Amino acid sequence: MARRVVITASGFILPLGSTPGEVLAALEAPHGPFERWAADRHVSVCPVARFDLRSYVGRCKNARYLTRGQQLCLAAAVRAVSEAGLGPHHLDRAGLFLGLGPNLQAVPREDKALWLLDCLPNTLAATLAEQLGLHGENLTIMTACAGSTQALGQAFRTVAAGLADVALAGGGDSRLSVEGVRAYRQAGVLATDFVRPEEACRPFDRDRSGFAIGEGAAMFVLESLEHATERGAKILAEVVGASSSLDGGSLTGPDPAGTSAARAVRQCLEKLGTRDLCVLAHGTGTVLNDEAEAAVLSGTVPNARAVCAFKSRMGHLASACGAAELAVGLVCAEAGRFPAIANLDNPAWPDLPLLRRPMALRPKNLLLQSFGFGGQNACLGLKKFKTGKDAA
Amino acid sequence: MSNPEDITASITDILADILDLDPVQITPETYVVRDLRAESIDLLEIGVAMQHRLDMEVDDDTLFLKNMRQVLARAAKAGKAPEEAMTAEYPHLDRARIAEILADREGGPVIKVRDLAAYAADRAGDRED
Repeated sequence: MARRVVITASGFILPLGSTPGEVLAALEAPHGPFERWAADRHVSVCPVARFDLRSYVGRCKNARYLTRGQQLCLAAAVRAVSEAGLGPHHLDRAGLFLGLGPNLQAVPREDKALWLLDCLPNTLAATLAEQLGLHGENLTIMTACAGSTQALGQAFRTVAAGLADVALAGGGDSRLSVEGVRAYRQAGVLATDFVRPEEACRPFDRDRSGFAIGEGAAMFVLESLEHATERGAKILAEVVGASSSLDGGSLTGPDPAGTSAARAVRQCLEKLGTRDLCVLAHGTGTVLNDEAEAAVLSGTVPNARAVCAFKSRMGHLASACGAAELAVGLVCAEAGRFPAIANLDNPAWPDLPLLRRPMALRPKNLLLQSFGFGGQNACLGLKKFKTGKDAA
Repeated sequence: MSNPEDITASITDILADILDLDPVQITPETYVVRDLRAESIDLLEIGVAMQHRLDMEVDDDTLFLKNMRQVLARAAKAGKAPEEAMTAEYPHLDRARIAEILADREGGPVIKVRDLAAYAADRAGDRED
């Protein structure tokens, strides 16, 4: 029988801040801290201000092989472990599940002997294992914008199956480089035609034109309920379901009908139910994503209490978006207050429960959905933790 | 660049970058492995960085005295003085430094920042000849 799995800590470094207090304060503002990209004024970006890896990990010579996104992830992981109060004996067999993006700056170099490590996807896992003394089950998942949500799902399954009592999971990413911005520009997915950068990203709005680029990381500690209870850990939420699917259509845009995405959503809803549900939507603000996601939402959770779209407040964190949005969602759930979707002036789907005003809400159920390039879908279902025999 | 101070400064920068250290922690007398805890992967990067930034051919075996044990073992077998074998193998090190190294072997890897600088100065000198 599968074991119950709970989240006992998070560590995050986001454009909105790196503590619950900072994030809540930032969400009180009508807009996120967006600005124009210095090297290309037509691009709206949402950077992490003043990030200093050393202040989290001290000296770290392996950082020379890590992207900025991976360094953010390393710092978030160290923070999560410290928040959880885990010691070396807990970490020795702990799992590690990372959702990461490609290093678009990796090229053969004359001045770096091991530039190969810049390209290998598991360099961060190796660095984290060394930093934190983690030696258990692990995966590095590079499934585009579904990566960190899938990583959380794999961590959940691993702990539920008894392959680890503790697992660290999430992701970190940054496309705020010349190469990253250029890649999105050429793919035609960025918001254009905006007057103010904080108004660029408009999820589910009739005038949406694309996303704004964020960066950051969020990592979580997942534990079997038994392990968490035995050590008296604080429980933030219970994970009850995880799913993923593939559209099998376009390499970039989603299947307009959202058939496979809806299947992934329904799989999570089997465990979660649809009552007292808050949806953390993918909500990129691209014409095609929101169209397909709206079809999924109206077919699966038309009666949700609220649908949030945090990308309107911190940009698109690429592979890290799911983990980052879960971190913000848990902060909001704990505080009992969810922010309105920014810039949703003219909803394209007025019948959907899109959050247009801040709402006092302590939802029993949270559904996280991430839909990436390649028709790559991933969902995670979470419940407010309740003691007793079963999560339901 | 054959000015010894410039060479030492460049090497200090390279070490600080690669090992993620504050340059003030690095002096010519600092041990690269014992003090700065450089590992084999770091030595690989230091060799490549010296080659690139100082624009010189670098032989890692010579630069980091990698084969010192074998050199000394061969000398002992052939009844040759260790100082003589070391001078032949590592011409960038002067006699005083070789004597120091031979006396210091028990304490662990002997390579110091000044040895890297001596190697670089020697290579720079070769190039100018």
